Amino acid sequence: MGAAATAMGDYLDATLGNAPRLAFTDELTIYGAAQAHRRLQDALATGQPLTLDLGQVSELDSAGVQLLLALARECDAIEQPLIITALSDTARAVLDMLGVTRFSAPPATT
Amino acid sequence: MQAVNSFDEPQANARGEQQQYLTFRQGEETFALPILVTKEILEFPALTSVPLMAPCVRGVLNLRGQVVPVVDLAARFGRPPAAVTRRTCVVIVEIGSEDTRLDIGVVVDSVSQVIDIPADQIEPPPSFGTRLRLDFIKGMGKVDGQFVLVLDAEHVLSVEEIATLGTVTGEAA
Amino acid sequence: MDLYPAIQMFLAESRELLEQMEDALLRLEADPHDRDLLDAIFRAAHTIKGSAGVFGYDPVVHFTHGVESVLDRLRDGEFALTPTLSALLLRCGDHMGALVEACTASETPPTELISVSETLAAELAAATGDTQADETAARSPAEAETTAGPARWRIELEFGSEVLRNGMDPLSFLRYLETLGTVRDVRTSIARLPRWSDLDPEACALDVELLFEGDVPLATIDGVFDFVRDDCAIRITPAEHPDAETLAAIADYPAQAPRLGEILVGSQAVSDDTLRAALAAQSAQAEAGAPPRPLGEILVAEGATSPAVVEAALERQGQIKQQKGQESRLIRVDADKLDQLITLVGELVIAGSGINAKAQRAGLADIVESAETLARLVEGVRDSALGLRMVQIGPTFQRFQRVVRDVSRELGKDIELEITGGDTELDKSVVERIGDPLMHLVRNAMDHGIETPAARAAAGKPARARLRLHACHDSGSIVIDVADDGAGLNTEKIRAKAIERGLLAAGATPSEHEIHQMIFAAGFSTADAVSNLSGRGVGMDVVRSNIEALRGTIELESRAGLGTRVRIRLPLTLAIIDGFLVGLGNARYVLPLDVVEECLELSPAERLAVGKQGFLNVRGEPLPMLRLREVFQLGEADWRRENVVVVRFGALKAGIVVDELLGELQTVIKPLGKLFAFLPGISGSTILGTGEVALILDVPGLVKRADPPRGQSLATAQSALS
Repeated sequence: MGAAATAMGDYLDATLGNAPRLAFTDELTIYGAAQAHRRLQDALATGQPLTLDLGQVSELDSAGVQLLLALARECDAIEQPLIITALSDTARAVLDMLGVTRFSAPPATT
Repeated sequence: MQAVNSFDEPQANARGEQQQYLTFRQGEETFALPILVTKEILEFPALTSVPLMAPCVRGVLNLRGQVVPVVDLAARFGRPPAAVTRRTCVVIVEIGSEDTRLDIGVVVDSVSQVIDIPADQIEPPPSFGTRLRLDFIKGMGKVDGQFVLVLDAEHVLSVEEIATLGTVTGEAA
Repeated sequence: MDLYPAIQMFLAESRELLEQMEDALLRLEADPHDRDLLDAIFRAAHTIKGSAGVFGYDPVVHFTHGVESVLDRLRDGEFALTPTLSALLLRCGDHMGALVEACTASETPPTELISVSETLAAELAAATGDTQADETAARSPAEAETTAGPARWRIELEFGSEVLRNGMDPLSFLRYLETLGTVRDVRTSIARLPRWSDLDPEACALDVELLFEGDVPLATIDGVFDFVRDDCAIRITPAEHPDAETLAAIADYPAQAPRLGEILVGSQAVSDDTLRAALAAQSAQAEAGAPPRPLGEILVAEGATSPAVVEAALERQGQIKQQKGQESRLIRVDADKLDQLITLVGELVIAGSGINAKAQRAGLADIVESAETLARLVEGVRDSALGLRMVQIGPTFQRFQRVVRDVSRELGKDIELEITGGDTELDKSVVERIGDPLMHLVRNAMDHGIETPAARAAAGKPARARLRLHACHDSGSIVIDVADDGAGLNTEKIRAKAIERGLLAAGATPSEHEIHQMIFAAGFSTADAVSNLSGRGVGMDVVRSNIEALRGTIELESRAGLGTRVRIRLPLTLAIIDGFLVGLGNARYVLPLDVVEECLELSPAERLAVGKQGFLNVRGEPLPMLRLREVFQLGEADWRRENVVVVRFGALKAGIVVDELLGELQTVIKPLGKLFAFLPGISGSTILGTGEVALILDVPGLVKRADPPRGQSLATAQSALS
């Protein structure tokens, strides 16, 4: 569990103004799903628009997708904007496979 | 009618030869039959006579729902039929082989006991001296100074023979 | 797991099916285009193949598959059933039987059988002008059943909560599907996922829907989800509604399972999981107390299938139900269990009689009434139980079709077998034992009785000879006739042989009928040559002893140039009979009630008259009399009164004189055994309610015994009258 935990823990909290900017790097899978959920929860709690950078995601599984979908739904519900700024190729492929078109973003540069 | 006795498994000696016999009296003589073929002993029961059969066929009896023929041993030996006394019994004997087993009751004057007769104590039947048909006797044994005639059940109770006696030809038993 | 009972059942069913197949093939010779018969032989082969497959009897499966293919093409009308093909198919049927027997006896049948399989398969190929037949036989039959069903499927998946925790991922299923075909239009939804703050990130609540295109059977697609079956709702439905194909599948649905759901799944209209979900929904409704919607409605409402498909399935269901109602519903019963039941019923009958008798004696009116009710019910049970043992003789007769056909060809004679009275019922044990004697009689008729077509033509007879098997009930007996319109018995030859064997004095002048009866003598055979089929010209003495072992009688009548009729009479050997009890001194005798016509008292004056002339004048008609005491040599009675039981058998009546008349009773027949095999006049024994043994009288036998010439003439008169 060690490596995955740090992978999940490897996101940078950066703020642009007060808007939370989250980046997930490495895996976004079931192993870190609970932790990601908490961090995203905190971000949502700020009441600010949420920016998500998924350009560094090396692996995305259904748990990750589920979480993202839930996040999007919640943002719609509380009318808090959610912006995905980047998607890695892996993430894009997985989302395509599951028919998720919600998170359109400019292609990743790497 | 009471069942006097039923038998347990016969005992065999080390050589596997069956040695136990049931002895009984008929007239003046003592006879023996291997335990293996005797199934049951009954006190003399009510018999239903069957017409037109040889005199040695005494009739049939009802053995717990099964109709069993009864043969009079004395008559079978060519003697007058046995008189029925307090001690008269019917011994149920099983004859025949795999496919064709048959129970036949045999009327005897009295039943004695089950004894062991080792095979080497049984001599071949004498060719004279007994007034019985030779094929009725398997051999002669000596027990306590007495001679015991070991019967050949298959011949004494030969269905083929008895069935054809006393038919239209009117032969005597 | 003990397969023995299953194997026995397979064996029994296969034998039956092969018989049906043979029967149908023979009937097809008369009408080669009969669609029903063609279907029947196909189905028989198909069923055997399927069942053999279950047990892994590959030799049977392979060979039968080849036969089945030919039969399938036959019923499709691809070619006609020629006599050559028919004969070949009969041989194939025989070989299938041999393979079945061999495979059930030991897993690997002898190699000779396998080479026969190959030979026959080659012959089939040659006969149907098609080398494909061989290849079809070689190919695994399973392959033949693969491609079916629409190429597009809609797959709806509702993944359960533990899927992710268990290490599964919906993505991997999608990837796997991609290897089988094309996946498109995927949609993923989190409709079931709780709100953000309440959700468990590790619990799965994804719904995935997709369209799958692939030339794979439904089972394979379904199999993709084997690992999540417990934790995922799976629904696979045809994407386009290819009603045409599904409807065709429904129409062809085998007439076995009349349940709508089964028809739909079996015709691939819906998948198993879809059905289960619908059934679950239905029962949930029922549990909730609401009247459950029909299954078809639920399926249509969920978009699993179209109304047209459901309607077609319902129609087919109705069709099947109707068909089933018309077919006879049979059940296999262990013969030993049946015998046990009959024995118990017998005891019941005796016990019931006992109660009745005691109640009567005790004069307790209400118990008597109950006892009578009981007796009536017992009678009902008895009749039902006995009815179970009765089987029709038809199938036994039918088996001779094949024999007659084969042998008549072998002998170069033209013989047609006529069967009447096939629905006559007799006791199972009798049916089983009548086959051999009948076979001898049929072969004798074909071999010796029936002439060659040339001889028949010369005699002004039709070239086609008729051999008739007939059965019917008559006065408490079963009558079976084997009759032919051949040349009849050769009286002169028989006479000569009888004199030669010392059975007849040179100067004696017996009647023609009496001469005919001599062929029943032991070892008597006038066959000139030892014929192939009859062996040593099977003696009628053997046939007669077989019949007599069944306590039956056999009679023969023959006219030169016209033909011969052998008539067998068998008692309806029911285990329990209705009887009439009579007393003779202390002894008790039972007459079968169905031969008893009436009872009369015999006054002393009448007794004298009977003593002198042997007849009693009954309402102007002479009634021949039989004194049982005389017959049984029991000595004179000391009764002032005697009674007469008037019996009838066949066309004849006689009066049997006994002491007492004791009334009717039902009782169990107990055979007397081999010791009494030669006892005439007595056919068995029975145990009365009192525990006494009573003897059952054999009335025809009695009459013969008492007065042989009269018995003979009675018999002759009887056969002349009938």
